[in-house]
Amino acid sequence: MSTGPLEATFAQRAQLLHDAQGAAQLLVDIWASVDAALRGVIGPLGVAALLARSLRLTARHHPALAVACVHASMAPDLATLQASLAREPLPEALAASLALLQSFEELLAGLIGSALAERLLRPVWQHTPGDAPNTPTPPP
Amino acid sequence: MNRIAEPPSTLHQGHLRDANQALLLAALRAQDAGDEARQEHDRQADFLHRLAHELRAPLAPLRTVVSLLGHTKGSEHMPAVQRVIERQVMHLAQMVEDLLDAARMRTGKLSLRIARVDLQEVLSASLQTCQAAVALREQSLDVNVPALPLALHGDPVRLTQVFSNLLSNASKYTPRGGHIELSVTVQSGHARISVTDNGIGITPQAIDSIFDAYVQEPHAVRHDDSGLGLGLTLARELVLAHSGSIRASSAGLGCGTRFDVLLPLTGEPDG
Repeated sequence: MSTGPLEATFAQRAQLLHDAQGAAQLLVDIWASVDAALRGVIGPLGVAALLARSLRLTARHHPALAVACVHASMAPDLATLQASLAREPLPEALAASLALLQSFEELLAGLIGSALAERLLRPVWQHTPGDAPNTPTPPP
Repeated sequence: MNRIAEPPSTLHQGHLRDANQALLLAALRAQDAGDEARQEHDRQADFLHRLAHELRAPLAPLRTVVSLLGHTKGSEHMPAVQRVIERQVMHLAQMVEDLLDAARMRTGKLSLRIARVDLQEVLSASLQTCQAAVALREQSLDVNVPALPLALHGDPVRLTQVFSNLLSNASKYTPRGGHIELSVTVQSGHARISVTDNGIGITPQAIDSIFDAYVQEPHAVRHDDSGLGLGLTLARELVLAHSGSIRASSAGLGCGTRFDVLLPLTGEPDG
C-alpha cells in the first residue's frame, strides 16, 4: 500500500519523538494544518465530518481513537483524542496516528479523487520548512 | 445588509464552499448508511446460520428414534421414544413460536388478551416452566415473593412468557450448581420483579445491546451456543406492551446478572 503525503509527513516528523505525548501533539498539529487547508473549500462541518468518519473506521483496530467518536453527528473531540493517545505506549500512539491519517487520505481521495486530494493537502507539508515528505511526485 | 457589501468573488467562494460542504456531508451520510446496512446484513446472515443450526439440532434425535421404531419389536422402548419425540417437537415448536412473535412485534401485529391477573400465579407458572432446566443443572432457586395480593392488568400467557424467558436465561447462563433468585418488591404502585443469578455476567460493552434481536454476546455463545437470541427481545417488547420497563445490570464478566422488571399494579383490592 502506498504512503500518502500526510502519513509521510507524520512519519518523518515522528522520527524525533520520544514519547506518546509528542505523537499525540504531532497528530493534532498536523490535523490543525489539514483543517486550515480544507475548511475554505469544504467548510468546517465537512472537515469535521471527514475526521469523524476516519476516526470511526480506524477505531475498530485502534481503540484509543474510539474516545473521540462521541456521536456520528458531532464533531470529534480533539482534546480527548490527544489525551487518549498520550496515554498509549509510543508504538501504539504512532500506529494509531498513522492509521488515522491513512484512513483520512483514502476517504478524501475516494470522494474527490486522489489528484485533487493531494493538491488540496499540499499546503500541509509544503508550508512546514524541512518537512517535505519523501513521496512520489504526483502527476501534474 | 452585510451580504451586499461582500465582494462578489468572496460571496461566490462562500456559496461554493457551502455547496461542497453539503455535498460532502451527504456523501459521508450515505457511506455511514451503507456501513449500517452491511452490519445489519451481517447480523441477518449470522442469524440465518444460527437458525439453520438450531432447527437442525432436534432432527438428529428424531431421526434416531424414528429409525429405532422401525427396528424395535415390542413396546418396552415406546415410553422413552415418546419422550424424545415430545421434547424435540416442543423445542422446535417453541423456536417457531418465538420467531412468529418476533415477526408479529416487528409488524405491530402482536395482540394482548388483557385481563385482571394475579402476579403470584404468573410467577408460579413461569417457575414451573424452568424447574426442569434448573434441576438438570443442579442450580438452587430462591423465591422471595410477598404474601400479598398483587393484581395487575395484563395478558397472563404473555407475562408468564416474560418471566419464563428471564428465568430460563438465568439458568442457561449460570454454571452448574449456581444460584438463581426470583424476588418481588412493591413500591409506588408498581411491582418490581427481579431475577438475579451468579452466572457468567455481561460485559459493559454488551449491556446496551442485550435486548436487541438476534444478538448474542460472544462470551455468552461460548458458554452455551443454543437458542436464537430472541428471548430477551421478546421479554422487553412484552413488558413495554404492559406499560412496564425492564433493565439489565451486571458488575461484569463472571459477576452474575440481574434483570429488574417494573409493572404497574391495579391499585384495587384483589378479589
